[in-house]
Amino acid sequence: MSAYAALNGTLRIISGTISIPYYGIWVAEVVLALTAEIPAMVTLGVGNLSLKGAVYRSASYAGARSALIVGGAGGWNDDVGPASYQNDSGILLSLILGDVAKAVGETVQVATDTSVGTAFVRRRGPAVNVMRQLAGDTWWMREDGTTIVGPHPTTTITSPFTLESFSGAKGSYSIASESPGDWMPGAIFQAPTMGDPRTVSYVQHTLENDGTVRTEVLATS
Amino acid sequence: MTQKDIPPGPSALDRQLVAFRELVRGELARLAYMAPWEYRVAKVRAPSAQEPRVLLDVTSTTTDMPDLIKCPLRRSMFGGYAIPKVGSSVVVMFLNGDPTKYYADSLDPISDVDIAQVLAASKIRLGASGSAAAARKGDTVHGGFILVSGGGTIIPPSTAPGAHLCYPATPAGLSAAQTDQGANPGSGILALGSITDITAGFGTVTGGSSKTEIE
Repeated sequence: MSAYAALNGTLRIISGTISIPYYGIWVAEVVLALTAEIPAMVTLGVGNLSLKGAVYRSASYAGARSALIVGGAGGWNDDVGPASYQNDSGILLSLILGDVAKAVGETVQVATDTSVGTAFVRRRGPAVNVMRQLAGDTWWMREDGTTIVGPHPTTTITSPFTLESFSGAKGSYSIASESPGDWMPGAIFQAPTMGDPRTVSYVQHTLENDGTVRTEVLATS
Repeated sequence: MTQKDIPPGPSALDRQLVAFRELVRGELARLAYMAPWEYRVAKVRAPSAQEPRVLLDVTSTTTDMPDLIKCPLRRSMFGGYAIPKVGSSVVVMFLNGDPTKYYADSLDPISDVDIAQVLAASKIRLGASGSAAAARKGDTVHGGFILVSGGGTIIPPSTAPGAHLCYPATPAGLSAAQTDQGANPGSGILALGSITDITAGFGTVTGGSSKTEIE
């Protein structure tokens, strides 16, 4: 029987936080009800939320194991060597990003491919720097661990939720929902007590020891 | 900058500092492309009608940067360029720090270049106040007539037809037969008075500097 919050469906999560930014890679800190080693690649599940990631750091203590998990294959922080591209007909963004992703074990999907010019020089350094240089603030990680360069899909949250509180100062919303997987950056939500619809900019799910999930949402505006 | 730029010591053990440093460097990754990078010339592609630029294949002298092909050599302020020797050093830079726009800028401070070429759309001026036109070997130039004053003497070698001086018209003192218009001139003696003027004529420059070539 799988737990409501678990790694790979069976490794029960006692507590933790899952942070999903609008751009970049989601991260999770979880505490598991076991002390044994866990696989390097995991699927983090909380209700209908399912995220594929890699264990960045993990250790056991006092009968439990805690782990830091990052989205994808965990390769974007790895160094890549220098490389140069030259083609008088132009070099596609997908070629450069595909090469760097492959070098660190990641997969990338470019929504709208374009030519970056007739040349490109990649210097030695973390792979994510190439992504930052070429994609800027347009890349994010899909639930299946694929890095997407392009806009988030426009979805509207239709599953029931309760808006527990709203901080006008922070622009943050406290949400109670049985469908945490619906709360992804780019999704539009609205409640009778909040006025105009808002778009999710950042989500943090907090898994409490008592089995509850508290969702904090920052809106884009 | 890379990890090797971090001096060995406690800073490398400070996880928060390392994480912060990576964060800053990640956001400012473009800074690395604003530095001059040393390369060595591996191959020179001379300009052609299809590609007027000098293109260099260059090899990086650091492990941080890749080797480059078809790196354009930027021209000097006065439109000139040089063909560097293979093995000489060049400085590679990135326009506006853009990794897609690299070019070779400065050449080796020691090594001679193979060819130095100066190009100009309308005029190349040598010297601070140069205004005299320079002639090249093979150019048609004005040679000029020499006008004399004080009179002169022409002594034809012979009165026989075919061996006379040629004149465009019969001068005073000579018979039409002596001028022999249209025939090859014979040798004789021309004695002139003072040269008073030189006017335009045509001739050919038959020599030039062996160290200067002007197209």
